[in-house]
Amino acid sequence: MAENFGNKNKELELKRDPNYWQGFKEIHDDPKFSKAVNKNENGLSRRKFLALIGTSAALAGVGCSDYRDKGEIMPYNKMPEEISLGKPTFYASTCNLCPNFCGILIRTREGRPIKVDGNPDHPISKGKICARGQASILDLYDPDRLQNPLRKSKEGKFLKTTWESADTDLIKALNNAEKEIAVITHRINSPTTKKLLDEFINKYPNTKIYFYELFDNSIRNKAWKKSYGTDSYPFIKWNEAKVIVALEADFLGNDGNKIENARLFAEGRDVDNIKNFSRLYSVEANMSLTGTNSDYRLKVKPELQYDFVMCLLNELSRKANIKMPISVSYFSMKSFMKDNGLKEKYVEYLVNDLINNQGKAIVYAGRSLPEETHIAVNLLNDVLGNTKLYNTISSDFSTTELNTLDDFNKLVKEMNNGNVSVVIHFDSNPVYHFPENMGYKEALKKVETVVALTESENESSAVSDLVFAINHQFESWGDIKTRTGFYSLQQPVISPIFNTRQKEEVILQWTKGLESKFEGNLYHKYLMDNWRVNIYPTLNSKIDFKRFWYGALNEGVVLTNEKIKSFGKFKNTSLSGLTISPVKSNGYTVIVKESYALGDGRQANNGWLQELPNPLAQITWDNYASLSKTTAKNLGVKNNDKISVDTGSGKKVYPIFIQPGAANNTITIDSGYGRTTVGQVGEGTGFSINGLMSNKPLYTPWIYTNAKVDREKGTYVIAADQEHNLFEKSPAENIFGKRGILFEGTVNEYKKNSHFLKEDHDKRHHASPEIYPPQKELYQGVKWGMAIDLNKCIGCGDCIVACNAENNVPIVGKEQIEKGRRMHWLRIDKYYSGSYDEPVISTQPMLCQHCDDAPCENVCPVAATTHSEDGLNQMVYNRCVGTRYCANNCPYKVRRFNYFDFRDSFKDGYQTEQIFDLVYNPEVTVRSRGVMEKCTFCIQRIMEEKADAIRDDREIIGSNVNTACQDACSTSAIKFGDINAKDSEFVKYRNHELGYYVLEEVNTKPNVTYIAKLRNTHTEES
Amino acid sequence: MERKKFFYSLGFGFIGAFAAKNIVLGMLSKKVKVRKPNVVKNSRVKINPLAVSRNKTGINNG
Repeated sequence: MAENFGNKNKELELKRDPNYWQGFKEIHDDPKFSKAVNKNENGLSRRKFLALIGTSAALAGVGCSDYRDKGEIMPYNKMPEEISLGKPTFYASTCNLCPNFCGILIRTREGRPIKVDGNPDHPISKGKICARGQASILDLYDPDRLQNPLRKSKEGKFLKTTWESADTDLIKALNNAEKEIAVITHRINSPTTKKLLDEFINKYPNTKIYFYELFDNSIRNKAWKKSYGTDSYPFIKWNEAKVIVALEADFLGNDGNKIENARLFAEGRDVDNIKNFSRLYSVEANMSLTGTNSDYRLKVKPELQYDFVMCLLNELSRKANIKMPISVSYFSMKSFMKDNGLKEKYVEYLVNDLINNQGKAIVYAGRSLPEETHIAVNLLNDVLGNTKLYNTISSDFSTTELNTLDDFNKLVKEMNNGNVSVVIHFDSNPVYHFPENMGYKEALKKVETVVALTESENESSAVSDLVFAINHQFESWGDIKTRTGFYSLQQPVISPIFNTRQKEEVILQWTKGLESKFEGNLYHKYLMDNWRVNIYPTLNSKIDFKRFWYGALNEGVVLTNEKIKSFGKFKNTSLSGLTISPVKSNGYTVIVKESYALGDGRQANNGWLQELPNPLAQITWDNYASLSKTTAKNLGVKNNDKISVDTGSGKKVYPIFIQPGAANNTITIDSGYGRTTVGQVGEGTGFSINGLMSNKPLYTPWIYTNAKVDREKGTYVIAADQEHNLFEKSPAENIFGKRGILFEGTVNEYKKNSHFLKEDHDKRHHASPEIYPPQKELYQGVKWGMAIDLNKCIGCGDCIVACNAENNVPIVGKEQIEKGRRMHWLRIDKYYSGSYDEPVISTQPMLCQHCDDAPCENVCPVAATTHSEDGLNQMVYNRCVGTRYCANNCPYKVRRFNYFDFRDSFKDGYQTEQIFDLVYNPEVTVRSRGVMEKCTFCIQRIMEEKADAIRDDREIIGSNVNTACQDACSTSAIKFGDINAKDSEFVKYRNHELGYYVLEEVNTKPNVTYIAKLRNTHTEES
Repeated sequence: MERKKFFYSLGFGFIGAFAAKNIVLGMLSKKVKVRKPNVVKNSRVKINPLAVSRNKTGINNG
């Protein structure tokens, strides 16, 4: 090009006469020049280059155009008084998700609830709340919630309607109802709601209210009433018991108030009060949470529990000369042990412990057992003087009595006979809960008007004519009384997000009738009036009502000075109907059990709960038939194979899971799954149990004997987390013991030599070489650490849900769990020891250990994981390029990788719905695809304390920071604080004689200490 | 002609990009049918003025 151009210049130069020119036409018209200019060295024309740039820009523009709209940031026009931007606001309230009605404290940010914890002022929950209560925050923002009242069209489709229209139609139906109006509801413990329902009955006199729960204490209470004459079974002082015997009773799981039971049980398992360390015997058919925490476990089928108790009574009578008011001589423990393969030694320990700890032991029968077993247990506790462990300060309080299955059978009969005009499902789902063979769903067709008051579509709303969309519990007012001694209040922490109304408000409007116009806050006024007129005067308060009311809402509870009646003496008359000879059990027994995560299934659309691993088998997203290895062998099935179960009331097919420690010929199936009308999340998860249950159970509603079980064709994959990252080849390797993952001992060992673990550790441990030179100047100020007491941890998993809520952990779905892509920052590892038939279970919460010499940090090529000066192993999400080297190099396997943008990939972007944004904690980054994440020790809470310390001009106080898992732990097994605060309670745990680091041999210097588990077995056993 | 070619290529580029985004990528991501029965738009966050806030700890709660 240059050459050609040069020639042209030469030509111009040769003309001597000045030839002035202004334009460059001559040059541009020169074809050679043009060709030279328009062709670069690589052959890419300028024009083409520009075209390519343009196309690329357009492509990039189009390709990136799907970036979600971040919305607009709007300042407060008029800022509410109680809000400080960036600071959380707390409200005390009451959880309504189960009959325990725990006190809760709801954390809100700029008006939106983001986290639920227990109310520290509540006398029962004492600042703790279960996984279901915590996960309820997700229900509030569930995009599948009903947003308007609905009316069923002639074609059977539900169409949006107005409140006025729906109310008018229903009030007309109520006024025209010539026959019964049936209101079906769960247990109601609100004095004001009870009053409201009574007024509804006054307005519409042909109304009958029916109360039910899928699982309840009715059998236990009935037996108690026969034994002692008072209404309900007392609460147990678990913390004062030296010996606890749980008979098919999962009191640490779902039998009773788990939060209270676990707290009291853990108080009795304190290594610093070793003299009073309790001993737990669990006598059960299948493994339960209580069974996993027991010191001794005996496998007994539920229908044989009565015989076992009678055999115990016989032994006590024989060995300790205790007089029995009933003949027990036909029940021989020797033959019972032989028939059921019980370890003679264990039974001997149990009998001796009961004799030696009279008045300090408690025998507790599970709620699913029949009345006669409960009466026999009441007798056993009575003759041993164990009634001292019954709580005499507070007793169960119920505003209503639950109806029996017979009552519902009668209702169905009346419905079929055309004697019911209106059925109102008052926040209940009987179509899903009632036994299929009751025929409730079919009977509804004979009812003129069926309506449902519900938050989300369910099986009962699907067969209703009108569906009234009701408020979530965080949008509702209420008052609760579950026990004597206090009331608990419920207040809305957010105005209704959708066009919904509080369920009580709806009933109140119907009571007022057609002539009354609906006003907002209708129920709030009603509630306050009831308290002003009926409850406040009984409390003898010295302050005026208004101040009292605001104070009560502030605290969330109102304490009263009620005293309970003494339960009196045991009535021998209750023994008259008891069986006096042992029974034989040969067939299969089916046990229907309340799910740990989903309860009775009302929260089946909650992803956090669906993904919470079952604490026994680490299974997510499904229920299954749990059975023993021998039973599976006899049936010819392995995990994921299917079996059919026929209880005589119905036949259903379930996938199986072989549970170590299950009794032979028993099948246990959890409730809450297999919902047919549910949102996107709960759709297609698990299998229902109501097809197995009977409306006229021969034994109890939850236990079915002589069932038929057969192998079925096909398999169904259940997603279990137990074997993810597994690196053992065979149990014989004892890799977990040898490599110092688990250390355990016995109470007797500890009593003899409190340094036994340290000595044992020193023998085993060989110091590994240091990677880094010692740096004394490090960690001079605050250094954060955690201690986990394995004697107190029951492995329930409440902490996992707390962590999810606090740290914006996404739901990934079953498919990803199957691939081992669980995102939980905290997991509860389960280790088995002993044989498959009689295993001993160890539980260990596992989270980032925040190692001082963290192996993840030195392999990151982009320094995305670094160490802070206060000892935290940090993640810089913006730097992370997703090499996953850190996860590979982490010996604890606690790092989680975002293989997808899980918010987008799960259920077609369910988590990307706009309303879902409201659940996120604004202090925690929402991670995107390709980024590694892990536990941060709740750094946002640490930063809050730092900011407070700077503002108050003081030092940072370690005990001011609580991690989310610590806040949630009902047994207070998790401690967090400053390792350098030598006098703090946390450091006591950090330096405990039983403290150890997991995998200490790799010398990563973790900042999480585990307090070794002690088993309270007898000396010979250790 | 060159200019014309440029605009043609730009136009085809846009059409190609549009097709790739909406047809090819759509097929690859298997999003044949997006089921969002309850799409929520304009959700309101409004504090209930009658509720009473408090401290977390329960101390000095009045």
